[in-house]
Amino acid sequence: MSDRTLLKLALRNATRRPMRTALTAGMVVAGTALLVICLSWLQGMFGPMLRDATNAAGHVAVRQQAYVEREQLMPLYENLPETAPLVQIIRQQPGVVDVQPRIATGGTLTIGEEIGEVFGLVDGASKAYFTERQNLDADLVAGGRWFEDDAEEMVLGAKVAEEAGAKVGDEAVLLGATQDGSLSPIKGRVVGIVSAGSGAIDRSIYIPLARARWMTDIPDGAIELLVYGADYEDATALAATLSAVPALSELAVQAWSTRPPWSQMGPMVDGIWAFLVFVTIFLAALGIWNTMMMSVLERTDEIGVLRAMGLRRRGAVGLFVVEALVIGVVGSLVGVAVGAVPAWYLATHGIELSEQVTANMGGQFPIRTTIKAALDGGIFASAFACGLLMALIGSLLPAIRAALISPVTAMRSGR
Amino acid sequence: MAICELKGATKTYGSGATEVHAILGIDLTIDAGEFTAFVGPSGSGKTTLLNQIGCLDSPSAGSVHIRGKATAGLSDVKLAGLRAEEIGFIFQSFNLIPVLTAAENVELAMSLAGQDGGHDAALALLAEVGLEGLGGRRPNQLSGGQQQRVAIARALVKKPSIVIADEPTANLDSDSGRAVLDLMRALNEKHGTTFLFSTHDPMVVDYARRVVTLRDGAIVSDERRGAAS
Ligand SMILES: Nc1ncnc2c1ncn2[C@@H]1O[C@H](COP(=O)(O)OP(=O)(O)OP(=O)(O)O)[C@@H](O)[C@H]1O
Ligand SMILES: [Mg+2]
Repeated sequence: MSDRTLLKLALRNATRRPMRTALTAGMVVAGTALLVICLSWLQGMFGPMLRDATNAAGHVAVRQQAYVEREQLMPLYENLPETAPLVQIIRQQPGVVDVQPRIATGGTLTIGEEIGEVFGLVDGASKAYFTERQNLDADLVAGGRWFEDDAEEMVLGAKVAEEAGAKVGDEAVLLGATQDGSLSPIKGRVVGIVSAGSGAIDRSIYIPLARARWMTDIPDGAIELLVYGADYEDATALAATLSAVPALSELAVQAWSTRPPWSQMGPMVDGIWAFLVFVTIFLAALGIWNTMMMSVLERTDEIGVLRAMGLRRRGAVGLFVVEALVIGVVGSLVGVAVGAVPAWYLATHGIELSEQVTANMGGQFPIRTTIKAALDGGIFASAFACGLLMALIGSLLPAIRAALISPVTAMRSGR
Repeated sequence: MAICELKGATKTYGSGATEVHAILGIDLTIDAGEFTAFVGPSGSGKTTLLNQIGCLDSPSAGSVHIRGKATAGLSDVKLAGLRAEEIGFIFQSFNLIPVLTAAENVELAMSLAGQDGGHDAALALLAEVGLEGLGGRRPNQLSGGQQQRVAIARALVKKPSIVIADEPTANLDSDSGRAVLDLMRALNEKHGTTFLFSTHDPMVVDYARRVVTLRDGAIVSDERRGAAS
């Protein structure tokens, strides 16, 4: 049978029982629409999250080996005592766009004479790191500004400010520790308050690198050097380049993707993605299998006749697979369109997560409390392809069943 | 010239105690241009024999040759190819493809046989079987007799060596049945196509020039009637 004849017959068969075809197409529509919504949601959740997270944590981080081994304890004494020469060397490496020394530790905040101290994550780095890298100045509440690098100033996360009762203009005392563990207070004027809707950002206390060095008694150093390339997705290559630099050979040079928590998160995201796609395709295929099987059984005599007339087994398989694919193409197109509407709504309006959820995610995940879906051509294309896969997988067993119909059936039919 | 030769052709269903020889040791030669009826009581093996000649099935023992080609041991693809090119079928319950028009049903046979020019040939043949102007109708818009004419056109359009018709008139009233047989005879005489059919109807048997009678899977008589009425 020529391909044109096969296509014609498959098309006619698809219109033969409109309700059944609609049911089959409906399963593809539901499957692809669901995928568009879920995949754009996943992308919206993890895409910006990774960009934010790697901006905060550096595409590649350079630290002491010993620090990395006890990272959870934030051991201040395992620092990089002289950062200036290292920064100079790293800046000369190909692909390096920016290097930021940073001191991250903990501390408690007191405003004026009040007792009642409030704990915060102390983040000491340059103004550029906070405002250009992380764009945190966009989240400043009205009336505030970012600190200047050489001033005795600080910026507070909204949660810390609220608990401490701090306002812009207040004098604050931040009580931290030196690298050998002695208590170490510094003073500073609160010049801004950031409210990003993210647990980690709102729980932080931002101070200039110089003030952090003073407080921790690491006069010329830092805990880590955060190195940036052009794109966070190229971090592995950048880390490889840096690892080859002799001056860094004793140090831990790690791309973000190899550091916890992302080293576990990558496979997790892939896993969620695969699970979603697999379950959706499986369920839709199950439904299609059911309706197509009905068609095959109903048309047994007819297939027998076609086989008697010389249709090969392959042709019988093709007839049903093509019919399913025709339904699949239409169903997928409709499904993508149907799914695009709620996905577009989620992309423009987003969904509010409660503060509780984001706060519990811990310091490493600067999750925004409003998550918006991210729609793009890749998601439409994936969902469409999955729709075709549903039709293909769902029709395979019925098509094979059709191929097993013996041509002798034709002679026995109608008795 | 023999276009079909059976030697000791046997078809066995089941095994052991439930073994049934649907046909057993059939020796038969069919020449080009025959118009032959297969008769015999129900269960005597008529359909089974036609299945063998029509390459729908291959023998359990013995041999069936179509134009010198043995069917035993042929792959499904080879058998399908042989059927597509050499054999036309007319079925008791017409069995047209319901989603195709009369003309498309006829074209389908040419397409399956890998032949070109289907549309024109289909319309010409439909006119020849008395269905001029009805080529655009679907099977459910045609009477039983008309459907069987479409089926005849479908069987003949690819110019097969043999047309096999298992009880072609069983689902038709006697007038339509007669008309269908007249048509088959006319086409047999005009194109020289070989027609093999089975029947229970004595009226139908009267059309045959050769009558093969089966009983319990074996041939009990083979009678040639010269130029019958
Ligand atoms: N698939 C099968 N499995 C088992 N036995 C079969 C099968 N097909 C046919 N038979 C048996 O083979 C024998 C011949 O059957 P066949 O259909 O060829 O007879 P027939 O002459 O065409 O009968 P009828 O006039 O009723 O159509 C019967 O006994 C039948 O029961
Ligand atoms: Mg029979």
